[in-house]
Amino acid sequence: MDQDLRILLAAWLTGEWDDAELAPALERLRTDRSLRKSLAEELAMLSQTRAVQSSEPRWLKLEDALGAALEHGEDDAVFESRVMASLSQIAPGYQSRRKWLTVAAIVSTVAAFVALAFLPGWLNNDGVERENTIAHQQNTPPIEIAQNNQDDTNTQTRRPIDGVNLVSNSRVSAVAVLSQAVNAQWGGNNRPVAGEGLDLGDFILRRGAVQIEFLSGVRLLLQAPANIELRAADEVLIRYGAASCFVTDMGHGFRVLTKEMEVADLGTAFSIDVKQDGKPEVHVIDGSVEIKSSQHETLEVQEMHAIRMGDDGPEDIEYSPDRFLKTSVIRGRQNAFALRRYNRWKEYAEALSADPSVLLHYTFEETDPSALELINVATDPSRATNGVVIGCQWDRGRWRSKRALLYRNASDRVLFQVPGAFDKATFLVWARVDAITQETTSLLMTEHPGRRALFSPADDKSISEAMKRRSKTTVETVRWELSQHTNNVMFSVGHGIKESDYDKLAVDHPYTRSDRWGTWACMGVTCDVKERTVTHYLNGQPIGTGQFTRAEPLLLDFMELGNFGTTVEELERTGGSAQRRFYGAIDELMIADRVFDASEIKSFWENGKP
Amino acid sequence: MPHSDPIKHAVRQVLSGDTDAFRLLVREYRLMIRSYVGSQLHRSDETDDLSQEVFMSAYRNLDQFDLDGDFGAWLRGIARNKLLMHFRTTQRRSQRESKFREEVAQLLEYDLEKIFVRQSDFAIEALLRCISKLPDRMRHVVREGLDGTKAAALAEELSTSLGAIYNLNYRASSLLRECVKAEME
Repeated sequence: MDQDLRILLAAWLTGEWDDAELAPALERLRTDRSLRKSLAEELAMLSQTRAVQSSEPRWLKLEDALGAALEHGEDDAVFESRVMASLSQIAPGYQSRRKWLTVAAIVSTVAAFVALAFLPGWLNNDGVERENTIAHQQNTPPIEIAQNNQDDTNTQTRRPIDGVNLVSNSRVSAVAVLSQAVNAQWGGNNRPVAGEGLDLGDFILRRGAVQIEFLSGVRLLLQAPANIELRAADEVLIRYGAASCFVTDMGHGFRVLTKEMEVADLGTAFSIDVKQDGKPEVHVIDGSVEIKSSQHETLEVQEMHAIRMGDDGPEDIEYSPDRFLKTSVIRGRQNAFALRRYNRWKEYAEALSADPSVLLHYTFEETDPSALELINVATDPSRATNGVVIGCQWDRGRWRSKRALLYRNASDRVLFQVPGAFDKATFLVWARVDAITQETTSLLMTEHPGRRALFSPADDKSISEAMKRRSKTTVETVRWELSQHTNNVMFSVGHGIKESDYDKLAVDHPYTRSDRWGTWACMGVTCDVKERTVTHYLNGQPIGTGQFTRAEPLLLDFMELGNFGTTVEELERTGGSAQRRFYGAIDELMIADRVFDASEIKSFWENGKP
Repeated sequence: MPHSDPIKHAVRQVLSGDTDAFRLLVREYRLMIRSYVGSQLHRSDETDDLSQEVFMSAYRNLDQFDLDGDFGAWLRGIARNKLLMHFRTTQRRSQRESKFREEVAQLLEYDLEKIFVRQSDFAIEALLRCISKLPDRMRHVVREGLDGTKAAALAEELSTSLGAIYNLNYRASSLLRECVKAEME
């Protein structure tokens, strides 16, 4: 080891040195390129070993004990959490710039917005009152904007309650849930799907109808076109749109704000219609509401009565609740919409099965309520077997009329065979991840013929033929897996047992995260062996492309959907980590011997989305 | 480095208001940034704090990132500025040491960038495997690290000289570089 290198390294690492010794070494560093390169390499290696080891101090001890490398991540997750937590305290420059642009564009509407502050309980100062008066004089148009209002009210999930100290001012992940959506088409940045939690913010519903359930105990039915802002778990601003509110005992006090008034629930069900170019109306279905406005006295409206807020104050109008959405109506619409979607999917699925490149297509449409087999409905069903259902239970699929297999137990799986090796392949599946119960979950994996032989008749020719095919290739396994790790969907082809024997592509897949559990997703992967290209898809969109190093045809043969054959010994030896069971539901699988292009995969998603 | 499309996609998502998408960027680049910063700072707590500041600064200024550019290189640029500021700040406290560190960091900037531009997740995974393959004494030294007074403590523990510990670590580094290179081929 070069003496100057050692002196520099020691000085760097300890922060202590003898000037007489360091000075010539430092002088040489300024002029000697090879010394700089050596020191950089040493420092880089020291920092890399420190970084990877600080990520898993306990794992390394375990590694020593086991004599094998383990995967890393725990401390990294802590680091990630620290960074993400600190981000919540930052207003990014681009957001504030965007905000300023927005502010400039909406300056004429700000006064109207401030008018809301005049409402009792919001802001009480003279300055605001004067501005509010001006706002009314200018007769400003309905509020159309207010993206990301970052005022104080928007940082809390519930309005302050007099005399009550909130446990924390920090925000929770959602203040409401989008429980139903019928043909919903959103504008703006927030475009939730049914089942998704809704955070504070703006929601522009361009088409369809939705049902929102607030954590405060309120159900809101909203009909397009509508523009609302969730301001708290117990407060919504309606810029325009028709909505019905059903308030439970827990939700008493829920407030609906409009430009002209505030409607405070007093234990009720009521509907509100805020027109874009007219006066808002309130129809009280049950109980009563309190209506406040900036220029008129507070008014209590009883059930089966309706008012319109005009320039001269509230005026009685005909009570007509049938104009508004009811839960039964939204449910009926949803069922009709789902049936249309289901029929559209059936048409598409039939056409897809007729594609000669499709080796296997399980539509899960078996008529037997306890069917033991999934029928391969591909044009030439001889190219892949039917699937044998092991353990899974039949359940409802993407739509009420559609059937699916529910994976719950550790041994649940579907077994099948796609004989042969393929230069090109497309795998598409509609699946619902209900949870990731262990480190790695198998979506689709090949199985060694030897393992299958354990359970097959002794004279099963498919085993011996598969073994022959296997002897002509280096491909040991093909795996499509989900995991709890950073890049949580992985397609890999194994050519041996070492890590380096695997070609793999792992990318980020949001539907494996807990906030998306229980949501149907269309997952896909294409592989062109000769081009060595692999692409992952999610809901019709590519989410990552990569290159494999080897160009060996994919040997499929015996496969398992939603599990991987693990012996009791393997489970015991690995403390259960070899377990790969899928926990969720699957209701369609397609395997083809060509690479579907992006438009075909988008079409598979478009025609199958729930 | 990760394939650029998911990175660009994540950047676009963050710019459109999806803060959570920033997680992907943190996950993909945290090891590289911690290694890069760590190569120029010797205290691990400082390394983690400064690495965190790099990501926070990237988040604040994400709209300045050229989507056709290399996100890792952009992050290292931020890290360089942060390190420079760090040296300037700490210089007031310990001028002699900070002056030395700042000069060495500047002298090595080109070589460190060349090393880190090639670093990938696969190389990091390979490094872990390679560490486990080192002979016992070397592995022990690598795992302990040589920061602060650890080299002296190791010399005492292994009944050898300080110089021998540095030599042992130097040989281990060479072996690790060769091993990672072989694994990547």
